[in-house]
Amino acid sequence: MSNQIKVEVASICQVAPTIREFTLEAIDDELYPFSPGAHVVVEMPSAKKIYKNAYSLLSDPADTNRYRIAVRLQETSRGGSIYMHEQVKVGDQLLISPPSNLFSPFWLAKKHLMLAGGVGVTPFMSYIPEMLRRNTDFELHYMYRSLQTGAYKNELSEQLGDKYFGYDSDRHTRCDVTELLSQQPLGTHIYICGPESLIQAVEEAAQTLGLPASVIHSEEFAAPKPGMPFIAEIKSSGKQVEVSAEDSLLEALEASDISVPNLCRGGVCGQCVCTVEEGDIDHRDQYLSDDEKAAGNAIMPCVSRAAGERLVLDI
Amino acid sequence: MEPESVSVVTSKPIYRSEISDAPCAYSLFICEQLSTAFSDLYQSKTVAKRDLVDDGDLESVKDQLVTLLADAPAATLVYLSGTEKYMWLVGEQLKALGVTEDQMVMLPPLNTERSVFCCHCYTVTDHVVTAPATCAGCGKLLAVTDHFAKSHAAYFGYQVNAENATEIPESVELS
Repeated sequence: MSNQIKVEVASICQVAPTIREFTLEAIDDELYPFSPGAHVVVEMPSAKKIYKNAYSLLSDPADTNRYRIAVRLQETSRGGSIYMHEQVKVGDQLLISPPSNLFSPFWLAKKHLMLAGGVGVTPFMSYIPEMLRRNTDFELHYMYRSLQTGAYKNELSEQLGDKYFGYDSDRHTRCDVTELLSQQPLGTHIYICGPESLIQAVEEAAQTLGLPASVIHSEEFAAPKPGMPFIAEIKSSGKQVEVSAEDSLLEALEASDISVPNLCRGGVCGQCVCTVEEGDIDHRDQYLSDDEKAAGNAIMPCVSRAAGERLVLDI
Repeated sequence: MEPESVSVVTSKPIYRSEISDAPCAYSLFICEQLSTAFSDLYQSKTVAKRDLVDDGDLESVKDQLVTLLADAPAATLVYLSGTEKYMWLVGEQLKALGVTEDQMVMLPPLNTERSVFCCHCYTVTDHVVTAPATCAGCGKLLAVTDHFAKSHAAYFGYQVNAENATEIPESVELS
């Protein structure tokens, strides 16, 4: 990406047992303004390879002097979050993409109901200052495990008062999602950021109750998980690209100088979609619909892989 | 020189007469004039709470909606019956109160009349059943397209014989 911004790590702060916050400041130019819910893709040049992960901006969008991101150390990290936690020091320089937004609030809503799971609280950190300025009706329901996550819970509770609801599953307090949704007034829009299991639970409860699909919004960046190695064959050139167990298909293509347009690298934005001519697909993205996944002729190479030993891509 | 093709925007709504039994906590039935079929539909839905608005006057419907939907739950479903114009204009009122389009069930319109929006003088001509149609505002002869504007509850119309006033296409019945 040629339009990357060079930033300096101004400070690092441990905000939960497994979560570190990084404050990034511009070196040459000013930082771009951003809207609530925006994210940036951070390039992490580890010794082994360059990782690129998307992180939500959690600072107030009105503050364009710095960006703040929070990185959770993933148990199954391929290296991206380990690099951020173990290698990056104050004063280091990083390359990030300009902000883009796939998770903007629907401002015409009568009420905003935010459901955060663990580090999924981050996009709502940029929603809240703007919602307070606009004096809109909102609630934050924050589910975390205090032994691992729960970043910002004290300051959010203090700042938001009766708009804040915390649930600590390490202390056996849980959120009854069905009960919560059934209490919402007409015109409520629901935003979910957290693990796939939370998104699914909320979507199922909404469907059972009869809430329209158009008021449910979710975002989950899936860091590409490892899988079995396979071969990707490029139809136009016949080139064979080996995809190792640890690399994503997108990374393997890029390493072979095949550039694919991409934005979030986490299975959300849909930019990197490729046509599949042959081979079964292990779909791991949030972008393609169930029907498109079943059709089996498109893949999001940033997170999805071959289900077999070979894929033929029409690119 | 004839243009090779005319750009065709088709956004004419498709209405379905079979009504699925979607779950909800509150349902609201709104009709321009009460028919047996709509009354039967109202009776057949076993919901915890439901209301019926039988009113052809948009202004008074608006007042009733504000009251009825003030404490409505997120899981609300609205059934609409009437002319196409009535249903979509009530739909606009519903949207302002927080109802989304996927919470509205519109039954097939009572007739095939269209409202036509004139792109020259912005007048909406009601009760159009044949095309071309004469604009009630500027008198121009309008082609009636299938390009439907939800907020106006009207179809886009443009002058059909702008270059040659003597050219009058054959009248066709609209569906």
